[in-house]
Amino acid sequence: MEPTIVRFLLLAAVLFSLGLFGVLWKRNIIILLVSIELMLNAVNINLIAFSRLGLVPNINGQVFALFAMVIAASEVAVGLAVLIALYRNRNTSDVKDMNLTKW
Amino acid sequence: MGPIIEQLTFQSVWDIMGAEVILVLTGFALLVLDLFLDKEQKKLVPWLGILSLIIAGGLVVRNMINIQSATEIGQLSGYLYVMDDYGSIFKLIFIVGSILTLLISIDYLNHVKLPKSEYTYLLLFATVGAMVMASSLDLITIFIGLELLSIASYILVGMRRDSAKSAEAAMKYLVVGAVGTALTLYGMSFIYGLTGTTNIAMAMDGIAGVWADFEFLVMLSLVMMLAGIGIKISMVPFQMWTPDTYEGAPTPITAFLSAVSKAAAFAMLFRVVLFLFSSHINEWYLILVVLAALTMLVGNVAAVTQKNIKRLMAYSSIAQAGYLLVPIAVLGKAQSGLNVFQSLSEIVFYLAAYVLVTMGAFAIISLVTRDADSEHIESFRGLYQRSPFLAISMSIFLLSMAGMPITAGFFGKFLIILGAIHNQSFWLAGIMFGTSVISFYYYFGIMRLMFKKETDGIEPKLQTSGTLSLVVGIALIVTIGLGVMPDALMDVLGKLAWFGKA
Repeated sequence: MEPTIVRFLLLAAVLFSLGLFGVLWKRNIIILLVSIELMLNAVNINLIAFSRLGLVPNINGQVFALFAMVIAASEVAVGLAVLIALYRNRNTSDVKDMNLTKW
Repeated sequence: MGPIIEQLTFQSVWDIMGAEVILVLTGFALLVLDLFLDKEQKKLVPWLGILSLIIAGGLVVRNMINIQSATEIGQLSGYLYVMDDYGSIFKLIFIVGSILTLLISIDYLNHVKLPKSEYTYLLLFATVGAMVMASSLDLITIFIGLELLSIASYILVGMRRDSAKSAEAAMKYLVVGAVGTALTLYGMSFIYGLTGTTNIAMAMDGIAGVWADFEFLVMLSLVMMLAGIGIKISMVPFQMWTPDTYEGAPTPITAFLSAVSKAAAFAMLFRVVLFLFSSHINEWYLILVVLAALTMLVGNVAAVTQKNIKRLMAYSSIAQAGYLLVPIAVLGKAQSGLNVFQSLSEIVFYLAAYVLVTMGAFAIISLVTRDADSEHIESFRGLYQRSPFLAISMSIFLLSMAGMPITAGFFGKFLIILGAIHNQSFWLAGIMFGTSVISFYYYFGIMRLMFKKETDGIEPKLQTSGTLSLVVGIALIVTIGLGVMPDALMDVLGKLAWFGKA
């Protein structure tokens, strides 16, 4: 493996961890959706890097990344729609207030 | 490089994915038709959905009968999408589950104001997603299937826009599910990076080759994918979303999530995780053993404290996921290929029994909770007096979930425990047996309530609708039928050419 791919993988790993951290610790749902987007984009960096510098470089990774982008976009679109429905009912976008259903 | 697709014709697409094509076309047709239908006509829309599902089921059976050799299957689709018996049998489970969900929904939609067409076609799309997950042999395709199922389910869960609970349930499901997607995808990216292919069959060989050099990356990918799929099957420690989402979702959708969606994730788990990492399964199967044991324990213990019937069923479904993990976990000790098919038969038998029982139980739950306007388990009090048929049917479903003899659930559990003992996983078999005993407590709690006498006079009879009775009847026949003669299904499963004839 070329040494440069490690940098790409590290960047992706850092972004992915930041996204996961955001989902777990942030309180605003918008930030949560942004963090999820961050995780999915970290995967895209991974895929593109592998597609160029991986063990067996080929075009498949870029195709995969395109699919991942489309899916990420539609997921966040649904997320925002659900958030609007939630906001109309509860007037809040704070995770701490999501306590109608619990133990 | 990947295999060359010779020529993509309509005929070959129809041959391979006819069932999916029918469902997608019906879905889009309903999308447009919705604009022209008046209120009365819209009542027929779910029936159209059922009709398309029945046709799709017929096409899947046709594929199973005309099964070609393994190489022929691959050549038709460039190994992207295979129509082996493994995929087909799971597809049949999904289709039956979706038909029963729609039948419950027809009754539900008569009482709760929801857009009927949207509801129907989203359910159809979700079913297609599940079918794609079961049949595809490519990481990209399988990922698209997973997301088609997930995104459609997020919307279905949040469909009751006037209910804050429904929106909250959808939000929780979406955030957790999206994290699961990201984890799965992150795992998949390493598979691609190490092998240069997204095809599962080719990546399997590739992974075996690079295992020694890149063990850390391979294990990272395995753990990520297990976590991602674990979220979908509500495996402990990724189960926290399950009760909340099940409680807030419309009741038929809860049934769909706990039956079809879970079965689809299991199909994917087997196809992806077990295949890709099968070469060194001895090194990592302990992860699955521990997770299966934890899932059974947490699901059953937490269910004991629940007072809301849908949450109780949610924890029960977590426990069932734990039982279903056992045949996969014991494969680590198995030596011959025969054991894989044995485990597959156990899983499919258990899933078939579980899907039918879940649908039957949720049909009754849907009726009883609506009648009492409460989801507290107290609404089952005195059900026997209000409707003896429903009370006895519910008891049989609960007995089947608990695993009492003369029901399908008994043989499901029996086969799994037997398989575990056969593979020398005595601990796992013991935990499964022990936690089943715990589960008797909460299942019998509901039964005790149902047969208790009402104190305050005579309650009015509970009116069932035709479709609900149909669901309960079908579930009852299959549950008892499989309980009396499990060989009927086991023989069919034994004759299947799981991954195509050699």
